[in-house]
Amino acid sequence: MTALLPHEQSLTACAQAIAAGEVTAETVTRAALDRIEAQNPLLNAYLHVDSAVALQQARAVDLARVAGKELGPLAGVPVSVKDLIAVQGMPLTAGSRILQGYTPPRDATVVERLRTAGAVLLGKTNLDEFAMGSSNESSAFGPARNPWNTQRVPGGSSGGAAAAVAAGLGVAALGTDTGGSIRQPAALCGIVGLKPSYGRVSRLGVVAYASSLDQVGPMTRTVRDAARLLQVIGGPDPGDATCDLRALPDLEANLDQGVAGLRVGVPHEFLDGAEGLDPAVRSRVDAALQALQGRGATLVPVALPHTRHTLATYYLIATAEASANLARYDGVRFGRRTEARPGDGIDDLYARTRGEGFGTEVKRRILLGTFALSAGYRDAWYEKACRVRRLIHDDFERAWQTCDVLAGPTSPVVAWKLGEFVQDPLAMYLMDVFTLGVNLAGLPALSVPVGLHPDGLPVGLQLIGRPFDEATLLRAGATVEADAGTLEPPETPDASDRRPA
Amino acid sequence: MSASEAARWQAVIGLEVHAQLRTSTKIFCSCPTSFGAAPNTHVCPVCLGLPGALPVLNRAAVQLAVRTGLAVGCTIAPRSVFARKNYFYPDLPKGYQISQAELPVCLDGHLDLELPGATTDSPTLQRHARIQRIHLEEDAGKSIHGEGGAQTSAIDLNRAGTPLIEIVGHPDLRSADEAVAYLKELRAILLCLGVCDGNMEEGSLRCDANVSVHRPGEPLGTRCEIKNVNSFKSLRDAIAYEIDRQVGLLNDGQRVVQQTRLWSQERGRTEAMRSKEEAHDYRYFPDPDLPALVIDPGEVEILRLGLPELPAARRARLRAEQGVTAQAAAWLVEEPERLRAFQAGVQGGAGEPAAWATFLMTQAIAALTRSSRAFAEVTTAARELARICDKWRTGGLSNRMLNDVLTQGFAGEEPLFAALQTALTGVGEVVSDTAALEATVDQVLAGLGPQVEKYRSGQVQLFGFFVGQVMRVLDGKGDAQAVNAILRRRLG
Repeated sequence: MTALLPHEQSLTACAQAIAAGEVTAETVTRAALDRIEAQNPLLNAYLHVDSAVALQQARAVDLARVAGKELGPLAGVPVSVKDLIAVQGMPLTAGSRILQGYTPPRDATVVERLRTAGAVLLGKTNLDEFAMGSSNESSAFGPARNPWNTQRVPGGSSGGAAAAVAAGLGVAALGTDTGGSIRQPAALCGIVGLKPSYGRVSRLGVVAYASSLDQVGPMTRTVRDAARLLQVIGGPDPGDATCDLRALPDLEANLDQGVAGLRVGVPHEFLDGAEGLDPAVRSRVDAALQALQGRGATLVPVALPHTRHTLATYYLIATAEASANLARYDGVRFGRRTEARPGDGIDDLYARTRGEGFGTEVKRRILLGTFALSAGYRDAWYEKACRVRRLIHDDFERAWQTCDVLAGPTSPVVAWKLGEFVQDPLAMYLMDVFTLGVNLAGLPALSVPVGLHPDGLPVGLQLIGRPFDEATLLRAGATVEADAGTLEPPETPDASDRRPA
Repeated sequence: MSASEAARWQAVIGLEVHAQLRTSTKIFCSCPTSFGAAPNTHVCPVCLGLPGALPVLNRAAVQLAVRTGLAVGCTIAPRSVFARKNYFYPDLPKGYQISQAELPVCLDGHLDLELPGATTDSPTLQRHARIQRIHLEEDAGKSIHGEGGAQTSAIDLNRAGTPLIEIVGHPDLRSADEAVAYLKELRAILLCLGVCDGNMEEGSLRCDANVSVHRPGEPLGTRCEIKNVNSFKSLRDAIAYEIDRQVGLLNDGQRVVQQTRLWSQERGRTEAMRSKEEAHDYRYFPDPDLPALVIDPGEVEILRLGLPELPAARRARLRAEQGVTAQAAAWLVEEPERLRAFQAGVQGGAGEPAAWATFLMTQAIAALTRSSRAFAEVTTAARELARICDKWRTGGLSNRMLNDVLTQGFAGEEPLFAALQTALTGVGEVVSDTAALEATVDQVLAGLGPQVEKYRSGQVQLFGFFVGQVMRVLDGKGDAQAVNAILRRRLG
C-alpha cells in the first residue's frame, strides 16, 4: 500500500509535509479538487468550488516556501468554509434561495485569519438553510450525503463540511454550531468537531441564526487538527462586541499530557436517564469512558436536572433571535426579490419575496420565534425560556465543582436515512438533546469518533469543557482519540478510486 | 364651543423628543454622520444590514447621552441594555432598530420651565415637567417617494445608524404654549451641551406629542400621538388643533379613538395615520450582538464636572449680574451663537449690557432679517454694533440715523463690521448745537400758527407732530432730547 496523499491525512501532517517541501501545496490542492470533482456530484458536500483561485493560493504558498519566506501554520492546507460564512469573491447562500446572487464584499474575520495562516480556500460547503436543521435536508440545494452510507444523512447543519472532511474533499473545514451543528455532523460522519466557548471566535461575517448561541469552529480528522485550526481562527476581534478579550493559550502544547487525575463527569441525563439512546451508541460511549478511566481519569457521576427543558428553551430562544436576524432578507437591498406585479405594495414585495425565498423549516422557526416574542406571549415564552436558560447554565456551574470535563454521547443515534424524519420535525429536534445545553450555557464542547455502530456508522463521544478551557477539553479528546483511533470511511462508490486496492 | 365649555376641559400633553447626536461617526459603525452627502455614500455592511455584519457601540454617543441626562437631573444607569425593536420598513435595513427598552441609559429627570407671565418681564409661572427616561438608539434611513414624478421609491441609507437619543417626557404639560416652552428649553440645553445641532428642519431634532383631554379630577382621557411636527410653530399649531378636535368630539358626545395622527402644516390639521389595532407589535428583546452597556460611576462624575453652565443658570445670571430683561435673557440663551454675539459686544465695550442685549434682540435682528447675511457676521461685527447701540442710546444718533446706519451697513457688500463702519461715518453727526436747533424750532413754529394755538388751548397730543416737523427739517438728524427740551420751552 503506497503512502496516502497528505490531504487524506491530517491537517497537521499535511502542513508539515508542505513546509518540509515533501509535497507542494499545488499537488495537495489539485488532489483535493480532483476528489471534489469526482465525488461531489454524489455527496453534494460543496455548493461552490473555485478551483482557479484555490490553485492560485496554493502556488503562492509554494513560491513563498521556495523564496524562504516564513509560512503560516496552515500554509498550503486545502480547507472548506461552511456557506454561512462570508468569503470575499465567493457567493454566500446560507443554503437558501433568498440570498440568490449575493456575493459578500468582505471576508469574515475567521476567513481573513485562515488566509493569513496560509490556508487554501477550496469553496463553500452545504448546510441546512440558515443552519436550521440536523440533517442537511433543509438546504435549498439538496442534502449533502454521508460518505459512510450515501443513503444516510451527514447530520446538520454543517453536514456538507462533515461529509467533505470525512471523504477527503479537503483536509479540514470551518463549521458553525448553534445547537450542535458542528458536533452532531462530526459524530455522524466520524470526524472531530469542536464548538468553542461562546465569545472565543469572532462572528463577524457569519450569517446570524441565533446570535447568542452561534459559534464558528473547526471540523477536522484529528483532535490536534482542531486545536491548530482554533488557534488560527480564535481570539479577540474588535469587530465583534461579543467576542471575548482573552487571548488563546497554546492549544497544542499539552495535547499529549494525558488525563491522569482528570475528573470526568458523566451526566445521568445523557446516559442512564436518556430517552431514545441507541444501546449500541451507548456501548461505544461506555467503552470510551472505560478507556479514559484506564488512562487515570476519574469518572464522576453528575446531574444536569434541567436537561429535560433544554429542547423547549433552545427552540424559544434560538427562534426568537432568528425571527429578528432573518428580517433583513426582505428583497430590498440584496439577494432575491420577487417579480413585481401591477398594484404591488411594499408589503406584497416582502411577503412574496420571503414566501418564495425561505424554505419550510426556516418559515417554521421564524413563526415560532415571532410568536415567542409577541405581545401577550413574550413573558410566558421568551422571558421564561431566558430564566430556564440561567438554570441550565447553573446545572453546569454545579458540575464544575466536582469535575473538569463532562462526557456522554454526541447524538443518541447514528446517521439516519435521508427523508426519515422530514415529516416529523419534532422527532428531529429531539436528536439534538445532548448538544443544545452546551450552546445555552456558552460552553466549549468537542465530538470525537469512538468507533463504529454495528450498522457500520460512526459514533461520537461528546466532551464538554469549562468556559474558555478548550485546552483541557482538547487534551481529553486527544486521549480518547489515542484509544479509539481515527475513522476512515469507505470510498464513495462512484468516486474514481485513486488508491490501489 | 363657548369659552366656558372649553374651560371645563384640561389638556394633558407629553413630548417624545428625538435628538441626533453630534458624533463624528455613527453609533454602531465608523461611517461619518455628516448631512447632505450624495445618497448611499456614507454606508458600510453594518448600516446596510448585510448578512454577518455586527454592531460595535460608539462610546462617544454614550457620553453625549449621559451629559444630556446629567443636565436634566437624570440618574445614570450603571447598566443598561440595547434591545431590538422589530418592524419592517424599506429604510430600516435590518428589519429592526437597535434601541433601548426596559433598561435605558438615563432615568427620572425634569425640566423646570419658566413660562411667559402676564407682562413681558415677569417670568413668574413655573412648570415642573418630569422626564421619564432618555435612551440611545440608531436612526433609520430615508425613503424618497416618486421623485421627479417617478413611480418608484428610493432609499438613502446615509442617515441609517446616526446616533439618537429619545427623551421621553411625562404627560406634565397643560397647553400648547407649555409644550413649546418645554421643547425650547430642551433644545437650548442640547445646544448648550453641544449634544445636538438642534436643526428641526433637517430633522436633527424631532418631536412627537401625546395629547389627551380630561376634566380635572377625572381619569386621563384617551390619547393621540401626533407625528410630523418639525418646527415650534407646527408644535403649537398641532397641539392647539388636536385639543380643539378632542374637546369637540367629547362635547358632541363622541369618544376619542387612540391613534397615531400626522400633522399637516399646509392643511392645518392632524390626520389619522394608524389606530391602536393597527399599531406595531415591536417584539422588543435584548440585542444579543451587544453586551450590556456598563457605565462606570467615576466616568459619570467626570462628565458631570465637565457640564457647562446650563441655560436656566445662565439666564438667571444675565438678569442678576447684567440687568438683562427676562425676555432678552431667554432669547440670548436659546441659541449659543446669540450668547456669543452678546458676549463679543460686551467685551467690545458695550456701555450697558442690558441695553445692548435688547438692541441685539430687536434692532440688530430686524436689520439682519431684512438682509441676506448670516448670523455669524453679527458676532464678528458685535463690537461695531455695540458701539452703534451706545451712540444711539446716548443721543449720538437719532432713531432715523440708527435706522440708516443699520440698513446701509447690512445691505453693503463688504464684511458687516466694515460696512457698518462705513455707514456710521457716512451718516454724519447729530445736530445738537442749541442755537442752531432753536433757530430751526422757531422757524418751524412760525409757520404753524394755528396748530400752536390749538396746542396751547389744551391739545397737548400735538407735541409729537411738532417734533416730527422739526426733525423733518433737520433731515432726521436732530438730537431728539434737545429738540424736545427746546420745543417745551417755546410752547410752554
